[in-house]
Amino acid sequence: MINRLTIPIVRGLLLVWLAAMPAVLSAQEEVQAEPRTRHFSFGITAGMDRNYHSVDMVYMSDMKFDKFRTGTVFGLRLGYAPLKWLSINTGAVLIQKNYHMDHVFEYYYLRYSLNTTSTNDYVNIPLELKLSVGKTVRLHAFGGVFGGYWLKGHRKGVTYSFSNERYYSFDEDYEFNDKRDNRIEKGFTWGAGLSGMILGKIEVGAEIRWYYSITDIQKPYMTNLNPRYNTAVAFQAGLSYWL
Amino acid sequence: MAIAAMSTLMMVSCRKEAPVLQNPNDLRCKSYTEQFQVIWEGVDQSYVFWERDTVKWDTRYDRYLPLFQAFDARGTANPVTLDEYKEAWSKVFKGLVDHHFAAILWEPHLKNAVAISPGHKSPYQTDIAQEVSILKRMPGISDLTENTVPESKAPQSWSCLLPGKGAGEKIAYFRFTGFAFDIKNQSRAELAPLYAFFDPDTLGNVGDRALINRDDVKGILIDVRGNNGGSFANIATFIASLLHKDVHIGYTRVKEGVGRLDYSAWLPAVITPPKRPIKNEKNIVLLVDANSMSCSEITAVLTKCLPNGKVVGERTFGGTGPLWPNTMLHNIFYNGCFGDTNLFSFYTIEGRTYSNPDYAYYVYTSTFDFVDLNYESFEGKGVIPDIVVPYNAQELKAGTDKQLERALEYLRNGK
Repeated sequence: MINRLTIPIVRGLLLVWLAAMPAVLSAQEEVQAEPRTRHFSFGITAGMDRNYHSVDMVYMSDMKFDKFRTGTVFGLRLGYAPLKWLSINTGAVLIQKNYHMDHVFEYYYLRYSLNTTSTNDYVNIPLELKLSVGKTVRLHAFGGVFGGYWLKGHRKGVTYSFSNERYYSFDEDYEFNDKRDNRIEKGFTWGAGLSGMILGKIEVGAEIRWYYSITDIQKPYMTNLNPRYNTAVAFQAGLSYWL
Repeated sequence: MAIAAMSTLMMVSCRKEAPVLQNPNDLRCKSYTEQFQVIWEGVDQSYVFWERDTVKWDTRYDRYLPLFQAFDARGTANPVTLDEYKEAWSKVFKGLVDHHFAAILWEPHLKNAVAISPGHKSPYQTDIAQEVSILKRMPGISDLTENTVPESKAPQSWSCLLPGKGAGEKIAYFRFTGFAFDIKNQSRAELAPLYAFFDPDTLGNVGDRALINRDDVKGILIDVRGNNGGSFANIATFIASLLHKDVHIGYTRVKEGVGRLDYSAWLPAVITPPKRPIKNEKNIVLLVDANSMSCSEITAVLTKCLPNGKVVGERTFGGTGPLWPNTMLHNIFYNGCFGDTNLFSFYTIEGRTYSNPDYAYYVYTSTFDFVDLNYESFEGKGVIPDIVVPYNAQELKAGTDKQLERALEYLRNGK
């Protein structure tokens, strides 16, 4: 769902942003007037992210998680700028935090190769402070916190049945386990970006942002719990309208 | 720079460290306490039924660690007895739902081991000798074949023909005490009833001389009362030859990590017939009791999936999780059996005999969690027959086998 919607939106926004840059650079007078006299903004953002699923595999040396896995990002944002150089931002972001596991092993001189790709949809709500400098093209650095909810999981891959001595592929929605799965997440977000104004009230921007979760995706249901964390790095472009 | 510093700070301070975990297949224990800790962790990581089990495993650790520490503290002046050792371990494992579960625990000072099987609590012992004796006296029985086994043990499998509904009609009967047939390594005499019933080749193809392929045979009765299971390959090879197409009987899953609930996806469990199965479909009845275990129970689930199949008898044992006793598979899926399969080893160096000096262990536990097509698990519960006929020891002793009679009645009358 997110993939199908977001990819064309991201492409569109990037095109808009690239197309807008000459206008931004040639419209200095207009830019200087905005957004400093305006306080509130709302907008949309979209992009892609690369998620790193952090899990210590202890003695399971033949199971490996990819360092990063690609997902998509789509969000709504709200901003309030009490000062020229400072704003407070929030919003709601649909973001995928995906990961992939390869499990390759040998058993009686035969080599088996199994894998699972896990696709996970989250909604993240960031709350952050943004510092901005510049005139024509403004540079931003921001940092804050986010809360999130794990909306949906899906997994597909290939596994092997020793009972039937054959490989099976699977492609299924992940059924949440109330004892194990921690669907609430929280963490820190930070990043940097640049933007410019077009048409007086519209800010076009792009940013790189980290979502660093500090909550295990599992509930503390056992003493020797091996924690798992997500870290998503999102590349986003967006439009904001200043009121 | 600031972002990098912030990132580092957060990474150090906000996330929990992974616990120090070791593969329970690789460890050697030098004390009661170590043995307890290693086995507790091994079960913690390797047991496949944590989602179903009601045992509070973390509480067991807190409660029984001091007991094993006290054993170590007693020293040689007041040694731990085998009974105390067994009682302590029985408490640790009490109530685990896995009915295959067995822990074999070596005590190096006593040079002895104890075996703990928390699920093995059958209400009675199947009196196979009496049931077979009644079978042999049934009117109209013919073509009876018993296997002969080495070392003068009792026969373990039987096949025969019993009267069907109409004149000249027959029911093919097969009984065996374990799924342990090995065509490549056992003699024909050992497997005589199997050959009579299926006339199989090594691929499980049914031969023309098989009882089940006779034209006058109208029904098939397979008796797995008191059958303690064995190799799943026996189902895939022999029982499967009663089918004409793939039968999807349920799903299996393993664990894919050291977390108690790190489960894989469910995989279909499918039984596939050989190229030449039974010629014509016939009604099949599987006769079960409370001592029908493991592969017998999987066969009961298979029989319930067949439109021409019925299960008769009593609720089965409740140990349906397939397993690989070989601990090598633990190093692949990180669940199931673990430990030292040679823990009883004695060895001789320069004329002196030594026994295993470690507090060794072998934990035998299901590799797979098995459910039927409705995702119902039978672990610790057993399979309920379509037609329930309770075990009756007194009637059996008096020469009446009600379960067998009811199974034959169904095959003769279709109800």
